[in-house]
Amino acid sequence: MPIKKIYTEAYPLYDDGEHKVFWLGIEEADEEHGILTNQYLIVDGNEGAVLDPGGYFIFERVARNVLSQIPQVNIKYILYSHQDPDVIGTINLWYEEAPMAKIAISNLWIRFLPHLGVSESSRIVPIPDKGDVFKLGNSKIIAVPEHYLHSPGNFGFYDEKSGILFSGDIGAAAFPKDEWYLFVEDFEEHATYMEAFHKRYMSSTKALRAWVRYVKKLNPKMIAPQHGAIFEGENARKFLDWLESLEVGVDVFEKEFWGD
Amino acid sequence: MPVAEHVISLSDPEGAERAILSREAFLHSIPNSEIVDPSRGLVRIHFKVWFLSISDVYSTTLETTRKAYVYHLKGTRSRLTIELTPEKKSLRVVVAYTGFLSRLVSSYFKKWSEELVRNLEKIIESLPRVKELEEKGGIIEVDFEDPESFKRNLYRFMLLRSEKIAIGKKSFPNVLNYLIGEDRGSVYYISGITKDGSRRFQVLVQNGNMTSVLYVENDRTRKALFSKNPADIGVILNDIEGEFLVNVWKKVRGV
Repeated sequence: MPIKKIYTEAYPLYDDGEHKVFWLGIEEADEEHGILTNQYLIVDGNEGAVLDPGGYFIFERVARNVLSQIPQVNIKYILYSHQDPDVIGTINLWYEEAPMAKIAISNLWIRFLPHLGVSESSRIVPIPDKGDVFKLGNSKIIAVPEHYLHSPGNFGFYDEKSGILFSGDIGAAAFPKDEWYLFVEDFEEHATYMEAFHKRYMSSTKALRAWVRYVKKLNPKMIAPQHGAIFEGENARKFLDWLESLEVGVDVFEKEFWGD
Repeated sequence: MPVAEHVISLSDPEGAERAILSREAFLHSIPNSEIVDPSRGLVRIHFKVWFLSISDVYSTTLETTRKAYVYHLKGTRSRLTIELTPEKKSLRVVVAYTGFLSRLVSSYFKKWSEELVRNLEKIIESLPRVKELEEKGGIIEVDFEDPESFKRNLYRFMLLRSEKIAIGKKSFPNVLNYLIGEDRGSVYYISGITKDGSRRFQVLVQNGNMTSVLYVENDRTRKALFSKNPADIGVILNDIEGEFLVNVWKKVRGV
């Protein structure tokens, strides 16, 4: 499905009246080179959390869609899964756009933030390696360790009320040209768009399988990655099973890269 | 007819002339007054004479002659004329009152006109110093009502501080000193917003001088640029009041 300028508005993934989750639209920014990014907003009562708001090329659309749902002073958190530019590139702009928000990211990446134009620490929340819990209104968001998948300091975010796991780069897919959908329908076909990315970008099969075991206990209703499409219901289970059987990273490429 | 004459010495005559041309700044310099309607230049002035308080509402017009700027304040029962003549390093101010109870007013008039001149001096002093800025690579301004264009430039700045600060009325210069210290050689962008979002400000500071300001208070937006309405910068900053979350950014990359 061609996507240019079609899905530029926020779309609700969950809404029980008090607690809401939005996917924040998409656009084919040429600068994203076909690897389109997803951004999300969780609102509970009058407090909001923005997840992986992304890079410069999409900032205006993401900010517009966030502010269409919640006043800027009610944004309590900006939650970052890891340090990639298409995740964190606009951190300086979000300091202005969400002036009351705490900025949460893995403890590993704090010392790199001045390179992004941020040299103050009062609003930074370093997430410890074992994870953390963020209270939003009457709900909780759990920072789930995803280290080495792909970044060495990586977190997913599990929204307890909606049952949605925001999985960062786990579940990323590179669509063929002119193809895009928001929800996975044909898992087997979709897996072909994910395989190369996961094999090369995820560094450890052991870490991947540990993450799958952890996530299966959470039993999320939906898994929403930062790239690609969202897994819902049965497809979320199929996705976890698929990951469990996948070999990735150094376990795949050891010989190719370093020989015997 | 009460008349008073004063001379203000100037370090920046060009800046003073810009201040004079701002009606809003001029109205704010009038002692014992309240602005009734800034857009129409309506101001109520109270003259306190012993136990009496004589007040009148005046409409304001600015006349520009070859040598001077003359503010005519026309009230229902009296008139005020304030003639401002820029000289090489000074500004001559002649103030005259005609009309209702002028004899009584004359006893109070000198004190009133001295206060007017002091207020004018303060506004002129708060203006960016043109030569100082031009010598340091020209004046940098930002139209904050075009936020997207500014945000695209924010990557040239480094966020140094983000903290809650209580700002009292007319205390912004003190807050600025607290925020940037003695650094008068850099460009700073400072923004603030109240917890409920009803008031917010954005200020650009170049070499210690404020060149651009925007203040939004309950949906009323006021802004000033040094090149267009410099005297309004100080007037707007004086009105910033409340507890703000303030971000302080310093320019770290080239233009």
